[in-house]
Amino acid sequence: MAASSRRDGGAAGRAKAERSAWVLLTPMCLLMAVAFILPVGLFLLYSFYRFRGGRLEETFTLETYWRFMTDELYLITIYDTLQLAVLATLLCLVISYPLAYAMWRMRSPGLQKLIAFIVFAPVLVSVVVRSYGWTVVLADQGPVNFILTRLGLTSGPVSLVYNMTGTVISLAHVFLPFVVFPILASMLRLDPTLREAAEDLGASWWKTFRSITLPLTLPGVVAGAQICFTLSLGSFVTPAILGGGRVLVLPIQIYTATSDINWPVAAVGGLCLLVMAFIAVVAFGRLSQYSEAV
Amino acid sequence: MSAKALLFATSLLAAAVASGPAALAQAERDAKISFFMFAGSGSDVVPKEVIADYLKKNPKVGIDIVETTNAIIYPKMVTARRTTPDQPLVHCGFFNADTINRGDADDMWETLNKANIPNMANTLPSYARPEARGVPYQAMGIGLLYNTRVMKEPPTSWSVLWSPDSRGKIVTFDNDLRLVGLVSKLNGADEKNPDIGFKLLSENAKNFRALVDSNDALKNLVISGDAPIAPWFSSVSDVWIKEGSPVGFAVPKEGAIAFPIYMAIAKGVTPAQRAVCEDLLNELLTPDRAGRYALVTSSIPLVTNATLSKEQVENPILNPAIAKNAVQIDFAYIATVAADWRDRWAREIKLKMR
Amino acid sequence: MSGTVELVGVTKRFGSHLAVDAISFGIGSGEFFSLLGPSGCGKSTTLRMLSGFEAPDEGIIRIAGQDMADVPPYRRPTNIVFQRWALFPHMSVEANVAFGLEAEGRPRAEIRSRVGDALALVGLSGFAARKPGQLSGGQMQRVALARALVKRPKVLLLDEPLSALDLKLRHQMQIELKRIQQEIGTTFVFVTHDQGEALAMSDKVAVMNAGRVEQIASPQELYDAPATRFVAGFIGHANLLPVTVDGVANGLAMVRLGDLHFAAALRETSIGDMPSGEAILALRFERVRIGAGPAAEAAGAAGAGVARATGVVRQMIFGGASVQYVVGLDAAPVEITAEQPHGAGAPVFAQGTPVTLSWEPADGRLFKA
Repeated sequence: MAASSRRDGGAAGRAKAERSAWVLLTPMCLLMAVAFILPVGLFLLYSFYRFRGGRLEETFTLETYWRFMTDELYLITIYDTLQLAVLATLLCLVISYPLAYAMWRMRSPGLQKLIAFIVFAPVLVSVVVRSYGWTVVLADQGPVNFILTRLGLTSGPVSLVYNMTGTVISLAHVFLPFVVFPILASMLRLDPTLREAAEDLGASWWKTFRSITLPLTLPGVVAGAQICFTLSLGSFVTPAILGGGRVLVLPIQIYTATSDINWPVAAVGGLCLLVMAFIAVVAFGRLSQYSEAV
Repeated sequence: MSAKALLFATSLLAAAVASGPAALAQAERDAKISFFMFAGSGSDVVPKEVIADYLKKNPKVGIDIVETTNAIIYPKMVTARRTTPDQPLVHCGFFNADTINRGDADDMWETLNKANIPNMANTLPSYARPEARGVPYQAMGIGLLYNTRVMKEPPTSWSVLWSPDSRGKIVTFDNDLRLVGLVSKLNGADEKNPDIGFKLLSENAKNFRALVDSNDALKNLVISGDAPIAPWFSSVSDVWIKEGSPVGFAVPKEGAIAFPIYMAIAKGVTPAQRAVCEDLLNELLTPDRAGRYALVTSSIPLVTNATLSKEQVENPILNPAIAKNAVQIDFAYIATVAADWRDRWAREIKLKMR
Repeated sequence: MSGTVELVGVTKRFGSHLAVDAISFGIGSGEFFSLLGPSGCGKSTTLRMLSGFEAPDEGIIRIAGQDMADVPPYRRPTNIVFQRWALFPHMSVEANVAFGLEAEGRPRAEIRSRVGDALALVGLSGFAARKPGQLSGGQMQRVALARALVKRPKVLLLDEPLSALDLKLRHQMQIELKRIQQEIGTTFVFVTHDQGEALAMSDKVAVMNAGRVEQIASPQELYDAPATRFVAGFIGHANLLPVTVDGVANGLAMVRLGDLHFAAALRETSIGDMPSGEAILALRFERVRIGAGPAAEAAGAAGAGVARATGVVRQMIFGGASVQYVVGLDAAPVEITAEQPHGAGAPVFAQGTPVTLSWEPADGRLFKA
């Protein structure tokens, strides 16, 4: 037995190892099939039906797809969904990077832990509670508008909530920990002697940041941005509570359609989101490769 | 037979007959049901009392209380009806006007047996359901909730909602189709011809400070003064006024919208489950229970002989007169066209708000 | 004047640990100066204080005659070559070397020409477009050197830059570094724990131990005339034998080791420094001659003649160019290691062979016990 396996170079052993790998994968494959592939297939089926007069008609039609591509309401919904994801990601990055940088450069470990807690604590509270909190903070009569008017930056209260602005702000806040920590991780991985070398060679803080720190932490930035973007695409609670009816995103659209039992619209909307998320994943994958090669 | 004997026999027979169904009614109830009630604002108080008393008398019965909103539970009930028709998600409970009418289209409700629910006879006929698919119970008047600090005087007319002077002052629920129906009716048309309603609301879409999804969001906006006017329920308004919030409730001169809630039994119940449901509904329709429910939720009882407290008689918000003079909206029709109206709402109002 | 370094009473503490203990010395302009010592002796800390990344707790540091107190690293006329080179991994070789000049704001043309010269100096002219990930260890080392030298510092600081290279490469780079230093004439301050490296390259070496400087001297002087027992043991290979000093005669010290009596060198320092009583005798391996069998002449002559001892070979360690013999003495309970060149004609003694060891009295140096 031993002799023969030695003769064929251990191929029998390798084949056995491969088989056991497949056996171990089977439960996962089954779960994926039942929980993901089957429902998506059902979705696909429903997307070809028609919904008229409050009833589902099981006739084959591409009407819903056509409407999604031409109807102003659906196009605006797709646009809003993308706009929300892009704006939330940008705002989140703009806040997260300096925050991560501050945490990285902080000398006292006590202060570092405090900031980490402040960044992470919102995760402990449900997103519904947080969203309501923002409606209070950003209200016309709320503290933010109070400060803005007192400082003379605006002549009266600015509409910061129940629109895209408030939704973007709250969403960026929700995803802050998911973006801060990947960026911080990539900063901690930076070889500290690189910054010393830069300083020794006479680089100012800005040159060191621009030429060394930023390019080498870019992979962390891309990772964080990917998380924020793809999660923003699917966010429901925040635009529902803070949008005030002005933010028309796909998840809300799908929810309304489902409550109406309008399966075709819900299905096409869901597929639309799936495609957008897939494209986002591929795009960010490319971006990630590029950022690591830099 | 002597007259005395005849009388005795008749009364015996009558007693037997009378006690027959009663005896049947008090025969051992043995079933498990799910009972739906609204969450919060006192809507659970009286039903829970009724259920507790019932369980003491009928130890073999199990009652699972489902306490949430119609909007959440109804789609699930429909799905259950389609997939497991013999096992309804909810066997009986409370349903508002929107839901009870949608239920007709989705074939959800049993026809109620007046013999088994005798107290049904004491409800206002103008609110009765077609083919007794449910029984009217309470109503709220929908009027104008307003912030007493921001509004120097209470609003007097529904037209404040579509007046060009009300920019950014109004808040209401998203997809408030009742509003479309109301505006149409008040401007010479009706629910079947809602174009004028949509037009007026669309042209003045910027009146809406926000469209919300929860009672609390609406409350916050009105109380803070960000959106000082909202079309809202008399009952909930009364609760907030009693809490001390700086709000008032005005019944517009055109009349409040009557918004009734019904009780119904879902299709797919077994006879044993049905019997339990009928008992519960009948008990809730008794004058004391009906009156108390109205008092606790600040609603108007649609049970004509409901026991009213002094306050219920004197408080205009709680007075049954609101129900009598109310603007009747054809919720049944709106339910059938709801999906199309929601689509128009998105296009003509939400898009114009931005 | 231009590349001089001066330390006066420099002390550095980390918490309760005294890393550098009031050291004072000077480095001449254009010197290749090494700081040599075991781990934790304070040499790296001293270098970091020269570079400006650490500040001394006490004392003065002057570079090119200027007091460097409160002067940050980027304003000092120094540059560092780090132990692991710290090349910017995302930049090309050319960009790495140009970095310091760009930070100064030099014009493009000047940068290009100086970078070209620097790369030529270290022998990497064709490598401008490569990235550090595509370079070998030795090449990376040279880029790090070019990057520092292109700035024309008055003093170049090198923090064990060769320790990450393999042996052959290290020897090559030692020669390269020496050549470059002589060509450009910049003062080099070189930190290492490898004494062979320090001796090979340096004009002067400062041997450090536990935060103090044991001796500063040229490599040859360190080797031939170690000033302290530590230096004697650290530089080269030496036997450190516990002996008793009986007295002085004929300009030599008379010592006793077990039953052996022989003479040892008197140092040039005053008699007062000479240890008496218990002492340590340092005897270099290669100074001990080994011969077969019992002595032809009388063993352990007490006079001023050659010291002799008989013993048995306990271990034979073959080192290629030379062979070491660990010999257990007959007359004393110690082992002496002798080293002799290996080649045709030199006899090889197997384990267990009786042998005679001999050495000149002048080769035995005495230190306080």
